[in-house]
Amino acid sequence: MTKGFIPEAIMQGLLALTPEVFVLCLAFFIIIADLILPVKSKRNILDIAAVGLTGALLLTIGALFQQGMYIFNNALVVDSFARFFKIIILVSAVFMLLMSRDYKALENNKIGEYTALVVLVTLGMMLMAGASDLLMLFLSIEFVSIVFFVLVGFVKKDSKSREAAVKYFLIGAFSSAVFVYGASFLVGVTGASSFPSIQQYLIAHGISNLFIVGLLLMLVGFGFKIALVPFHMWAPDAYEGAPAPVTAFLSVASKSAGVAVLIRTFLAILPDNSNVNLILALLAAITMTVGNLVALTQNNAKRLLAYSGIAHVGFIMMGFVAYGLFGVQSVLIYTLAYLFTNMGAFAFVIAIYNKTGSDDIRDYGGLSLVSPALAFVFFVFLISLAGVPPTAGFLGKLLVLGAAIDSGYTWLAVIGVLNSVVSLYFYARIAYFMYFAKEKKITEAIKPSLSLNIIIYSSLFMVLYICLLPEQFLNLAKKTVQLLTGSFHGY
Amino acid sequence: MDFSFISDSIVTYGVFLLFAVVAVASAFLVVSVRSVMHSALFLAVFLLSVAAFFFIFDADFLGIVQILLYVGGVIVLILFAVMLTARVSSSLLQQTNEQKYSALIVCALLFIMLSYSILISGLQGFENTLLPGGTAKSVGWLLMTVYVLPFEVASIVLLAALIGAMAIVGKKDE
Repeated sequence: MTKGFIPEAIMQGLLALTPEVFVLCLAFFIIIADLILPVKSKRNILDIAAVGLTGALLLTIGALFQQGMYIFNNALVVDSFARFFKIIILVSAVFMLLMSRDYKALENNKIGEYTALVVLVTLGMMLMAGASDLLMLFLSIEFVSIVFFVLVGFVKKDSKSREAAVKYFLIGAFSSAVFVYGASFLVGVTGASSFPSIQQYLIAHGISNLFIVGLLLMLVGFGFKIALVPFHMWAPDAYEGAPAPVTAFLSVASKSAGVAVLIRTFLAILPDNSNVNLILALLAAITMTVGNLVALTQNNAKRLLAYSGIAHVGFIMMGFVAYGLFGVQSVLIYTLAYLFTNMGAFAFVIAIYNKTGSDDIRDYGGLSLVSPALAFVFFVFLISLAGVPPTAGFLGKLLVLGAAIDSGYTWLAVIGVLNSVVSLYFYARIAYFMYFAKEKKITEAIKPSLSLNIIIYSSLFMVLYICLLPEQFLNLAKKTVQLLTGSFHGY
Repeated sequence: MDFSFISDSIVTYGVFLLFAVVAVASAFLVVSVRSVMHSALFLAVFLLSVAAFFFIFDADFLGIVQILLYVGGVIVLILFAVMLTARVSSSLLQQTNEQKYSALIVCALLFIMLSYSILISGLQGFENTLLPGGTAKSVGWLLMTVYVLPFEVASIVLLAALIGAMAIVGKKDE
């Protein structure tokens, strides 16, 4: 090897981070494109970004099963687990950009900043998925939060959007403080900030009380980010007020990234989770129940999906509580199913909003008469959210319930099943308005644009494909978990 | 009780205690006085005593950064914001709302839990090593080697924040 200006370790790290570097260059390219392009053709920037992120997606998929390794002095870990979540993040980013193309509330002259922020936040979440150092973890979480504060309040004319941004900002800042406070105890106890060094310390000295307290404070911080009950107050307001593509992005990508760091942190620095397992199980149960019960009475589609998203986080946590190989696998499948189902549902919400200017589900009446095929596809997404076969949501729920029972959490699984039944009611309520409402609010056929159609039909394909031919996805999840680097268990 | 993780020298320990009392007292005043202006000034006192901690524990670089950034930058910014607020001098300004008692209980519980676990487990992860020639050099070296990635990512975060700030306040003509 030649001895260049850049030390070899850094060069190696940058090579392992090719997708991230690519996304960063894309962000710079977009900033320049924003300066050059005239206002009329600014919407093309969204296409450029979507194509670029698809490139990064292909790079990540190509490297999915490469051997995992630590880079940049343990600041990041690049393994199949991180890449799996990067794929989810990139897919949702591409979908989100496609959705934004036809979202009416976005002004043409702001598209440049909007796209640059979306690409940068994608980069932040990709870093989050691989963070294996408390400093890097905090930095990437802050990165993502700061950009989302802006994106949530992007439509300044809408007072709801502004209010949502302020609420999200205040609670986000507070939760970051709690998180970093907890992390400071971990550093104080172990004298190390990277996960491998913390592991080494714990193997040598065991776990102290202060360590657990620090970890619980960090859990509060994570809880805010992924909207666990009782740290979920910001979610409904932020989801309702934000522009719909941002809501979809926030509920899928940001949540997946949060789940990824949560799992990574706990697996990497906790030898066995018996100390905090009951707390996690209780949080999962409360999260599911509160999310579903409150969703029962919602009439705003975005708000309803926000509460249903909270409930889904409860289910994801249920798989995580199981903690073993099977538990993490079930979380991966569930997240994948949630990605396509939720993105598809949001594409519909946007298509209908573009037509009627309303997010109220009572205004969905008559949809089945004017565009029966679309109404049926929407129905498929709804039953996937509820977890009814033959959809991806069913497979995800089956796996997390199985994982919970497998590790002795039968009571949690029972609560999960009861919650599924409750959730069926409010998803079916949307279907009721589409099919049987007396008042026909929608009188013309809804014609989603090309980009929305791409999202709807590719999501539909994946939702059915994952459930009908699950074998390869199960293998994928299994292999991903086996290649998980830096777990305390070593599986 | 074992306080050896704070310091071995009695003088250092005494100075530390002095600033600890100042820090806690001023932090308490920040959230309890009624005038926003006074709150901001007490915050400055608190941040200065934190800077003093850094100096006591030989982290001279961190101490200087603390003064430069927090006292010099953040506090000045806060004071500007306070002066632009209309109700600054109003004595009716309340810092608490109806949830203050439940908040008090939560804080007390957290305090008991934390002090209990700190007292029984202590913070022993660090070794007491005095760096020759101050810490600035070592911090700089660490930033460009071990922590080079977080360092670079921080600059991207700043870029994102800059674009975000423009998106929020900027007015672009059609």
